[in-house]
Amino acid sequence: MRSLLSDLGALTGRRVTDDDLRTSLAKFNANRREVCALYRLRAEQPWQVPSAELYALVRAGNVLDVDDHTAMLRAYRATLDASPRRPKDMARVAVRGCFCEQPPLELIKTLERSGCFIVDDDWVLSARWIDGDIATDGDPLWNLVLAFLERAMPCPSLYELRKERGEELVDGVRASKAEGVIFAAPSFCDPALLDQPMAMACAKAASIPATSFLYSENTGQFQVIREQAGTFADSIRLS
Amino acid sequence: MSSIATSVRKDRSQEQQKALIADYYRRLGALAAAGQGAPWTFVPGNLTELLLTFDLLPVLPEINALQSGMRKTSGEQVLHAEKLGHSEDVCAYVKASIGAWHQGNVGPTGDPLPKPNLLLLSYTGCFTFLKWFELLRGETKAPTVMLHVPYQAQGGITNEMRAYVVKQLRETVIPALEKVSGKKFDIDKLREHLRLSALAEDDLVRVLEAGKHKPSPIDGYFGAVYYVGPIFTAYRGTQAAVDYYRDTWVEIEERIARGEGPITPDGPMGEQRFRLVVEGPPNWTHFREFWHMFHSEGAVAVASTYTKVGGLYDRGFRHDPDRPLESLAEYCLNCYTNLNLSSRVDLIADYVRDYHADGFVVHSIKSCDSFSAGQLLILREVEKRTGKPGAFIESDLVDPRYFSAANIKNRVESYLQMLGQKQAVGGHA
Amino acid sequence: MMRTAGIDVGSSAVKIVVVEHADTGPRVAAQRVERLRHRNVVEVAREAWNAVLADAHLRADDIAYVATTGEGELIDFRTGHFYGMTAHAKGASFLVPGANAALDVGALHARAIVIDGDGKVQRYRMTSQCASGSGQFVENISRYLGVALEEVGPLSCEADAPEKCSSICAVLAETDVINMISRGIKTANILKGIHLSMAGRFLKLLEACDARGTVAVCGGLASDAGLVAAMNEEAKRTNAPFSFVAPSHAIHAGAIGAALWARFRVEKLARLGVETPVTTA
Repeated sequence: MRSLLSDLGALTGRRVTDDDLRTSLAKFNANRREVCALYRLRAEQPWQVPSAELYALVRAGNVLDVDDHTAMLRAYRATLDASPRRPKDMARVAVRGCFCEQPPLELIKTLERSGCFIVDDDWVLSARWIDGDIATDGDPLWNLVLAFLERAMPCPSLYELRKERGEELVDGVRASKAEGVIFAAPSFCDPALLDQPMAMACAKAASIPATSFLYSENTGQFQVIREQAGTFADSIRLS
Repeated sequence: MSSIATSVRKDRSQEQQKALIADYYRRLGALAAAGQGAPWTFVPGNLTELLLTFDLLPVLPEINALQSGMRKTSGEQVLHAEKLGHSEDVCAYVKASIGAWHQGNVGPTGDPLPKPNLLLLSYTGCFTFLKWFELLRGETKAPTVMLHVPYQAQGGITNEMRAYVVKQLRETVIPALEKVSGKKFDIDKLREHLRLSALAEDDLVRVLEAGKHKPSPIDGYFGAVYYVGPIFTAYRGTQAAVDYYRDTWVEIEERIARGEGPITPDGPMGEQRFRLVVEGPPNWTHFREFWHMFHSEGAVAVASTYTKVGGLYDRGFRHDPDRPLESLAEYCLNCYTNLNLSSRVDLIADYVRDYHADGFVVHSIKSCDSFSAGQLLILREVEKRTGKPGAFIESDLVDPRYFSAANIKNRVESYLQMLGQKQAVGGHA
Repeated sequence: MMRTAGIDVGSSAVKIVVVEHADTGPRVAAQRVERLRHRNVVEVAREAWNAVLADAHLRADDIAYVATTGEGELIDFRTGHFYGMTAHAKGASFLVPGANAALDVGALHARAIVIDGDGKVQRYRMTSQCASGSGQFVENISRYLGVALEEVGPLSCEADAPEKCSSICAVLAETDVINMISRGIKTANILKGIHLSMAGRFLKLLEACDARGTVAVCGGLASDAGLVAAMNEEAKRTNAPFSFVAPSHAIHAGAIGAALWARFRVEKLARLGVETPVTTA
């Protein structure tokens, strides 16, 4: 971390102090709190926070200044409060498999149109990588290291020591009250695709309905996915 | 053009190599028969000397997969894994390994394999290794120990990186091996194994660098996968490996003296019209057919990167009995899979220059992200740096469905034709 | 008494039904088909919805659940949406009690669905994106022949020497038809030939999903008596283990199925203690 910091300093010509780091940690803490609040709201009232909107909004954080992004998230939440949307009867699903190569927006819209409320996902994981705030007192780099080691989101590309693969999925499904799981992994994504049989087995053992399909990031063809997601949503609701 | 011979020609070293590998599987079979387990681990970053210090014999799932590929049994294993829910897109080695486990855990030679008593996850740059052993952990319930080897992202090894690996060896790996074997760690025994490793490594480098001669007495890709077999498998640090590499070097010296080329499965190679450097692992299910496409056209591989996945000894690294854990750490850090793209470009460009190659071939593996990501960039960069044309061929490791013989043959032939035209215009490079 | 509605948005028409769930069983209380004719789907659906409510002397909040199907996810006043196949299977088993399979032939595609006793999808097969197994194809041919769409079926039934198309590709088949016209083949025989070609394709779909027994034909083309007759002839000729029945109201199968599943959802949500989302437009 220290050599990364000094390399970045050399690149930008700016020496970063501990106080700079603490300020940054606080800003990202605030940003993460907003992102997580929207995720919680979506799990509670998915008709209020369509996933296509949430995804675009959170992903925008990859290119925006963190303060601007936090303000944008707050403004979005205020809009929702001001004009509530009509609830709908749809199947609540958790989507997994997209941790690295992000899905096209149209894929998310397709899933929603097919009758799925997405109440949990693994998109733009970096926006909520750490569970909770990172301490802003003491040694900021050490705090960051500890947070990464001990409170990181489970992710297919991170070696998992804490739990068996799939257990986190079952926990996520329970927490978000999802009724089923859709594995939507990008083609040729070894980490996500190799996780899939383990996660599928866990879902099966926990009697959670699950389905899976592949997508490619630059595809524009969603008819098959629509069909599969539609059938899946129906099978959940009509059983 | 000659056709593929029905009987296979072998030179002395190949017979020896075959006997060593067969003996390795026999010993594993005996362990299995006695109901004993064995540590399972990977070739890149393998700690064979350390395991031997505890009288443990490793099982290497990649070697099992590739040996199954050569014996044409991997296709069934891959299909079995796909039936269990694995994707068509993922690493075929993993699927062969999972399939083989489900089909009774029998090795490629038909000898039963010992169950893992430890999954020693030496992580050296290939992400799939993590998933592979997570999957096997789920299947076998064996305890897993991870040796986390930092990636050479900046193209070098720092003291911190080395110290980090040594610390893991001391605090995690050695205690786990003590527990599994019931034996105390004996550093002097380790030193002796490392001394033998270095001796074998010296001769292995002589063998591989023989490709610099004209004509080349070896095929540095197809032929060399046999040469690296023992040292990649479980013989590093043994007298058997020292003897094998000594004998092999003597055999090759004789060929150099006689001005002879390599022995291919179809007999001694004739005129060497093209000298090539090859990047990427071979296809195992059609290994002979693939080789034939090259040697029948007078193309010889003078050097390759795949033969370095078990260690970059030709770049100067040696296991060192005076710095036992440090040199094991450096070995792991130095694995080809742990190198960044620009180091790989440097290495291939150096090979093209040092081995006086006419061109280079990138054999890209459909299901191997670790090797294949960035290979088109490598192709362009090496072409730019060396001025030599490269060819790009795609197939797979052990999934026979992805070896499209006609397509590959077409590619190889048109590439070699192009090299031939270049030579006709500009004289032999 | 509970009432639910089904709205099936197809590629050429919007079909709407209101179903009353009496103690004696469900009954279609009102229905409507509105052709799109290149108009905005959402507006057409809204108008048709208001018209259906007016027909039945109902207000929107008399309807416990508005279920859409087909392209109906565009309809914002829906309560929920069901996939087309799910809805058609249910509708087919309502219209043809005891049906073992449904064949839904719409404007742009056809699908064979094997169903269980509750009208649930067991297996299915769809035509690829090729248009030759669809209503649009028949419509194009009738235009070439100068025959009104309603006359296609009766005319086909009058054929004495049907001329089969050599190609299953819609574009090539259309060329075939133009050739037949110039060769002086009778319109009835051309139409019957087309129907037989289509029947052959549908039989293959049904065989691929191992259909047996009674197949309920639904979707817009169910009203084409010529097609249904051709399918039964082909089934008999090839000893297929199934035969076809085209119920009246077949065009409403999707909407009816959606309305029936709607009731299922209202009851299930009540069992789960969840309030059915408000649907009033």
